[in-house]
Amino acid sequence: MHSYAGKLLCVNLTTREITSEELAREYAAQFLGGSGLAARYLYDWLDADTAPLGPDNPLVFMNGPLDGTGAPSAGRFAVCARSPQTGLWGEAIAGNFFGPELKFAGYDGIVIRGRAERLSYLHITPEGVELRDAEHLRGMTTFDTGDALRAENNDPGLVTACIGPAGENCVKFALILASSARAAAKKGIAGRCGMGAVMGSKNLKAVAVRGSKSNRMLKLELHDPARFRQAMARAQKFLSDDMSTEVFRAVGTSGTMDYLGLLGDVPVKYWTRGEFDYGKISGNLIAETILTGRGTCHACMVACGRKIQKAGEYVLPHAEGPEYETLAAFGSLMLVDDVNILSHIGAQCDALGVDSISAGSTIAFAIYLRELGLLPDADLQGARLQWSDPEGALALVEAIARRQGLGEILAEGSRALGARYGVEGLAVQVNDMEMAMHDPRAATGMAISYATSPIGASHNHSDFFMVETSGRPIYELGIETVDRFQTDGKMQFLARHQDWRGINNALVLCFFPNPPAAEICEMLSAATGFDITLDNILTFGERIWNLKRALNLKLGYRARCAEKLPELIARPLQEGGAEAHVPEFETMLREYYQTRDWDWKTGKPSRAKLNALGLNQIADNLWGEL
Amino acid sequence: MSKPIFPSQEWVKALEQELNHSESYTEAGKNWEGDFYFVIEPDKDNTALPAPVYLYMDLWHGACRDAYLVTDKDAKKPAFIMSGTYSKWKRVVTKQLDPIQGLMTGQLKLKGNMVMVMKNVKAAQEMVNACTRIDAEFLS
Repeated sequence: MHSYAGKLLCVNLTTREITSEELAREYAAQFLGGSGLAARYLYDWLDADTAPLGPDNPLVFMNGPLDGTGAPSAGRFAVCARSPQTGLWGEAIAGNFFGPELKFAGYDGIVIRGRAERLSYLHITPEGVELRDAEHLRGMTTFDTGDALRAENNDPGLVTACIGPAGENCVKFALILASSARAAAKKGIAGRCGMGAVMGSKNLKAVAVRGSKSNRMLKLELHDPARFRQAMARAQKFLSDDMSTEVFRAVGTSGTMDYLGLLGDVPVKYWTRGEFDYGKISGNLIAETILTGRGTCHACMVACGRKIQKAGEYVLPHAEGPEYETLAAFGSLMLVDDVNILSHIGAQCDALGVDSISAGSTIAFAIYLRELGLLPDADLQGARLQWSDPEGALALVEAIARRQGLGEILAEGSRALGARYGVEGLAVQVNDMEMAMHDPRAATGMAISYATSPIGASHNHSDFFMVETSGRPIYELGIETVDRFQTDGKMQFLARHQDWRGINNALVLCFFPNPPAAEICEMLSAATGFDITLDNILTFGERIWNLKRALNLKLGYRARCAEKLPELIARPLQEGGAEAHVPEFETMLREYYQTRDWDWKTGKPSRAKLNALGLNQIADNLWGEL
Repeated sequence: MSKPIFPSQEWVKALEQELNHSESYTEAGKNWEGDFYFVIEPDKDNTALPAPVYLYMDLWHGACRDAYLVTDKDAKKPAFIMSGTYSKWKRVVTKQLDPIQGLMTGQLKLKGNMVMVMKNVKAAQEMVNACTRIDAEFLS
């Protein structure tokens, strides 16, 4: 199989059996790789009874067909399983160098089943695969675990994907962090859906992989190398001249903070206010004050990673600075405007292994509930819950990771916290996934993007706000500029955007650089030999989107109960760039269902739609055999 | 009195006046330091603007200290050069295209300190508001 390693590594932690199997060519041809391909496998393996934190929930690491080819920003990987956070399909996409390294070691993916008797790590090189003891790493942070494994193996070429204490303690939103010894490497954060908790439930502390410095490293064979190189050169030329590449390199993801803040996109005081001094938590301030370098993932031309050796008094592990989402979740959401301690809190989230969006949101929600008088003294257990208190928030991050005191309650997430006090509806989440830091009142399409995302309120399945607020259409895919407050006629563009991002997550491509889609199709086609063009690429995305919906339905998803706008988002803000605007949720959702050809009552994709996408077996499963 | 044509000496002087009479620009641009060339380039398929036009603006702490049309582009070495085609600039000055959106999407190009621009988005917005207050004529 051109551009694939052609093998999946299969590990049963219970029996310690390690095997490999051929990659299913028919699945790869339909679902490409990354989370698309993982979803197809997991559709076969998961059912409604699979316990997310039980040994029967397979944890799948998957790279993509462009990983390791040099295609720009295609060096990521997906981690997928049934999510303990949502109970639904779970996926998290991350960068660094793990994806290509796994491919160079000879594998397109890893399927991990069972539960190890003792804390263990997986050591993978082209010379062999071993399950090794990791008890000595128990309690260690993600960064330290990776460094320790490189040191004890005397192998600086090892790239690691590790959990921290939060993963060991099965915090519902525990992350997996990929790191390497490269000084300019950007961390890879598989943050959403609690994939770190699944890894922790299996007693697996880390996966350490080295392929690229081995004599037996996989030499990738491409279908048409000359055609691939030409398309790649055109994509690289485009990106080197592209202003958005330059913007993200100069100011990072958080450099958009001032602009998005002006538009009312950045939430303030747990989604109840519309204005904040965004300049104080912005990547622009970081660039002028504490930035010491830039970090990249494999084959990256952007370098959005913020390298910060020291933020005020705080030394940051691997000099890893914060992203936009972290600065908003612990900054404006909690009324904290000190970028030094925010950088430190972000680094602590990464090190202890919690998703900073869910952690920040849940802590901010607790502060909000405390202000409303709903969170009683008895539950505080020494914790401080007040606005503009970064030290209090930092202490709670540690408490969550270790499930201590109030942290034990917060480790279950914001919906559970709200339910505890009878105000579940006040939690700003969809399907137990805390909303990303982009307010649907400022870009109404995000309301439907969050509601229909297969993993809950994530922006990683469609950052449609970039189309709505930053005028970033993709005309070649029929995704046109839309007014951010518009209701009617928007859903066709959102659906296409979701399909396109499904492709991104299958390939596994970063969202930040956007080379022409035609060049991505050309690279993919030349690399794999698959018949992929600009005309049919979105069909792959639509197939993946509908597959994930079908999988969620198989797991018990109830659309009419689940697809709701959180109560606070249905309340208009009194000031700021989104003042007085509220998404017309049901109008848009009904238009979305029509666009998708989904059944309003059940949330199912129609049989005709599934059949048209080549998902006949899944159609039979969903609707019954004809 | 005839309307100023965009782009022209009369138009950029009108913008200078608008900015210096705008309290909201004075506030939004109070931290801005740096002069600009705004370069309006001909569209490929439109001959209304036959050659690039360079508008110089010296912006400093919420005021416009000077502004004029430049005939010799080498006459100044401004800190920032923002360029785009006539049709894109027309959309900017009529508030149909946010200049930051224009940058993010590659419709406009910037040479200069990106950080300074990205943290002064409110000033950019107020400049556009000032542009819309000029009753201008357009080439096409």
